[in-house]
Amino acid sequence: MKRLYDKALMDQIAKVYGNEATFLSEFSRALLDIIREGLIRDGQVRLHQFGTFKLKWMNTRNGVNPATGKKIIIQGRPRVIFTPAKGLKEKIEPNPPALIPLDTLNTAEVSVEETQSVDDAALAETPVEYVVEKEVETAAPEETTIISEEVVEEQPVSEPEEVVADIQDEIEVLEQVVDILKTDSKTDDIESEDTEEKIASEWLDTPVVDQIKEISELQYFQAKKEDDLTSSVNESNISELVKTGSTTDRALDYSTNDDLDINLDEALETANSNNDTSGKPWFAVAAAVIVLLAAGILFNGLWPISTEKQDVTFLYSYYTPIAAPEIIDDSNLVAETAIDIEVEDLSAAEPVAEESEIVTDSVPVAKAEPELIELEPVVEEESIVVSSEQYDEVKRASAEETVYFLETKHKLTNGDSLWRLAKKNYVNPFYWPHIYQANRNKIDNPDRVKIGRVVMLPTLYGEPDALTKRDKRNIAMGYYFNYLYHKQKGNPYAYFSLIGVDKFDAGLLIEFKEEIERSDVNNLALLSE
Amino acid sequence: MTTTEVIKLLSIRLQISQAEARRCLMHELDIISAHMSEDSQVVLRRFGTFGVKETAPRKTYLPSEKKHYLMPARKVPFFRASQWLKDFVKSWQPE
Repeated sequence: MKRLYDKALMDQIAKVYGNEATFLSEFSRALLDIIREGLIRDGQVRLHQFGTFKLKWMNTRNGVNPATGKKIIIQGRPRVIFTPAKGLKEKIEPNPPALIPLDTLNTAEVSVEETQSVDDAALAETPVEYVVEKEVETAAPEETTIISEEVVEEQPVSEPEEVVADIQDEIEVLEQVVDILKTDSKTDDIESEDTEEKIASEWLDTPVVDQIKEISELQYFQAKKEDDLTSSVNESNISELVKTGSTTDRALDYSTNDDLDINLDEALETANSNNDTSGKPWFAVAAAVIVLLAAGILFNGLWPISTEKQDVTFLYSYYTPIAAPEIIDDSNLVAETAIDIEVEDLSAAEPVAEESEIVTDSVPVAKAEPELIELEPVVEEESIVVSSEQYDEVKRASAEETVYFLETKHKLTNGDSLWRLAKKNYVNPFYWPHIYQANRNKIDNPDRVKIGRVVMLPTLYGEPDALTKRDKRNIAMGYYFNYLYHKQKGNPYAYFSLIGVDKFDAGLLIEFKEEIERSDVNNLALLSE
Repeated sequence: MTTTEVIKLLSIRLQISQAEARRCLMHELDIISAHMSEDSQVVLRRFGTFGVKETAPRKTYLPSEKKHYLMPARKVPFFRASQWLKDFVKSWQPE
């Protein structure tokens, strides 16, 4: 295989660019450097129209040394993954080969699947049509007979397919049959969809309680008819049902719906007329029902039981959620409050990270290349400064009217510290000097407070994101007092607390010019640089 | 890291304009991909090798059409990281 090494690549590039070869060798070296650093920094490098380099962590796992057969623990390590982009794939293979269908090998499997699907469709249709028949009574039987004939025709076709599937000569015939079945199934699907849509529209129009009534009635009548039919199929039983039970009761219950009334009236008229003329239509009804039952038994056994179960599940799935929420309400509220608390904690944790960066004056973390590091802090500092100023300007006016935290008394207990109290009440723990400057007579050492003493938690006028001028001055005063305390103790790093004074209210540094040592101010200037 | 960021860093490091950096980058990637399309490998020191491999033909099934198909052999680009890059990356850990 031909191989191109990076030196030859440089030469090729130089052919195009002439004298700039040295520059371009630098260029490609720099590119590889940047990709390597980007992988470690972000975990992935995406190059347009070429691909993405990604790092994936492989977990530690148990392995076996194939030479010795001993068990080893293979430690976790990152792995470089390259996923080519669409553009690169197209360049390498401009005309990808198309898929080759395997119809000739798998006709038998496909045909069996299709016949099964047809059976399912027929089963799904029959109960729906049956329900319609009951509602409209006499108009339906013609439709049902047609469908039953279709079903009977389809079944014998499906049986020989399985037997003859192995013989290659008759495959063409089978394909034709499959095509015919496809067309049949499509037409059937359309009919069933139409009926389903009608029923769905009726469901949507009527309120929930009426729907439940209807279903319970239908189930009752279905059960009644099944019992009668299974025991003995007689004209008298069916006629009794039609005359006494079904029609009259339904007419009473459906009195609210106008559309159904008309249908029922028509149905009653037609039923009466049929009874007057002769018993022939009832033979048709009985024959249709028998044929349906026979078809149902031939496919997957007793169909009415399965359909009833489906209806019941459908009902309860819609019905249960209406009653349930009243009980669950309390637990929901509790859960919501818990989530709120968690969110507050998270929001409290974020500013700590931001401010810690500021206080340390963005001491850069050690990295492989110094040139990359020069860029990053510049961008971050700009973004922070701009955002805080904007927040101040917008919220300063509104924050002075409303108070974020009203002053309260707090008894110090085990585990309390000014840092934690500030974090709990003012969200940002860096506001702890706000408490210290208000209770200077009660707190000797701000780093160690005594249990049992009652401390005043002063008011915070602005929100923790946007402090007012008064708040900032108070906090800066707290930092100043902290500086004085540590100066008294002779702490050489006392000037660190002047960073807080500088950040919150730099004017205090000029106010207390005489009391602050000059060397400390110089140190502060060095830190800020 | 995206392409724009790479170009920005290149322009700063080599002190050239961003347009020029973009032009050079695209040219270099074009050369690499052109060599790959000719079935030859490109070996970059301290980085890895780019190349093309052929996949074996295989059977597939499209559930939307409920049919079996034969996927013919195809050419697929690949990248193999060098040992130097593997060692360089070792310090990385997921967040």
